[in-house]
Amino acid sequence: MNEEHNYSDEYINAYIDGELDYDERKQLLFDEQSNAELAGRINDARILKEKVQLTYAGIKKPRYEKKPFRCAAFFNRHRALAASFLLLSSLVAMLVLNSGNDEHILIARQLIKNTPPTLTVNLNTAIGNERHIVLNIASYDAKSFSETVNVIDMVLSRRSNDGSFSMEIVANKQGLKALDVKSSAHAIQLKQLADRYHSLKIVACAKSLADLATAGDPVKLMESIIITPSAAQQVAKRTAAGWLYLKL
Amino acid sequence: MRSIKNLLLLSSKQRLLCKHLEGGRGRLFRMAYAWCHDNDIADDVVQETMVKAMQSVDAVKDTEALDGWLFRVLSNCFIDYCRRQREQIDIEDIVLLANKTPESVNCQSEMLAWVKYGISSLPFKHRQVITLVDIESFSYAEVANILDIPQGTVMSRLNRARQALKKILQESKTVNEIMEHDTILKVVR
Repeated sequence: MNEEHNYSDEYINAYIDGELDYDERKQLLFDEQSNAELAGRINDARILKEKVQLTYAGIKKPRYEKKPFRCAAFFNRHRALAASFLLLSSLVAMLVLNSGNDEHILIARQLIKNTPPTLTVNLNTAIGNERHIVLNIASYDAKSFSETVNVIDMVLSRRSNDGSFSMEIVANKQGLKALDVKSSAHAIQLKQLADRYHSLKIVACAKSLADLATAGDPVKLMESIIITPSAAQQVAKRTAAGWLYLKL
Repeated sequence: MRSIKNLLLLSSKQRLLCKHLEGGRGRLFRMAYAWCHDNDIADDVVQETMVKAMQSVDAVKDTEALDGWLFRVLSNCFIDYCRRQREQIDIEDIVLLANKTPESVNCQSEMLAWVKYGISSLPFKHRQVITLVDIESFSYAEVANILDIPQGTVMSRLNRARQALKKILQESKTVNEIMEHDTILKVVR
């Protein structure tokens, strides 16, 4: 009995999948030339593999279209409430959809979550000679924040002649309390800093604003504050452009 | 220009994973799609895979095998997804049934539609092995590592998958015998 007839299907699979070593391949190639049936089996196996490869070669992630939101009955009954609800829902839906599809935002979330806070005393050193800083404030302690404002003032003053320097304070979660004109004296101080130094921009997270409002603890912002859909989105945008991220 | 991924605040493994994800997301989606033939499910599973991978990448010891590890996370996420859908049913009992016959699929080639149908008809464990080997060109050892099964099992499952697929393609003329189904996941009693 010829040896080549003993080749199992698994052995032929291993051959077409590149799993055999040099000597095994050489032997099979030799036998394939002299055995039409074996050559046919190998060819069939190769074709089947190529068919599978070809079938899924063009599969790509689809783009989704937004579906219309239908709530006519509810809207007619409670127009004002429905309008607010729709606005808030659209904002949240937009945030979720955008954040889900953007790897930068995913990474930014990890960055915000995993970055250890920078101590106020180290803030000036951490900024160093960096040109673009995004400063994330996610918590607020009225007692210690005065020192933070002083350090920010000092940094801005030091770099006031540097036209390329820019700093963006992104406040979210409880950090928004620092911008609340009703309860925080620092809100006015930060606004004065923003008025004095054009390199400073103050940004508030809309999602956190909505969360605080829903929890019955709304924040009243000054007019000059920029609203961003989400802090993660803003941080992602800045860090992707090369800005240094620091969390307080 | 400094990129977010180059920030020192991310661990080296997280940066490496980011690099993998940049080009690898499409591959993950294609594999998940080959397992479920549903864009939405595949997208959900890939999203979950990326989040879980970011969370646990620091535990990976061999960064050289990051690619295989990522597909292992994908496999686990996919199995978790199926279990969440049908908590009472053994995952091995679940097979895919195409919701349309190949003839009704708007496909460039009827042959490709039949291959797709054939793959979807295979048991999940066979479908996983054949797609990992054929689509992603993983070695048997890598597939064994991804699926946490012996290499011999990979070979036998692959052989059974190919034999079954070959048989389905040979019998592809009996189109009328294929029933139409609305749902994607079905249980074989």
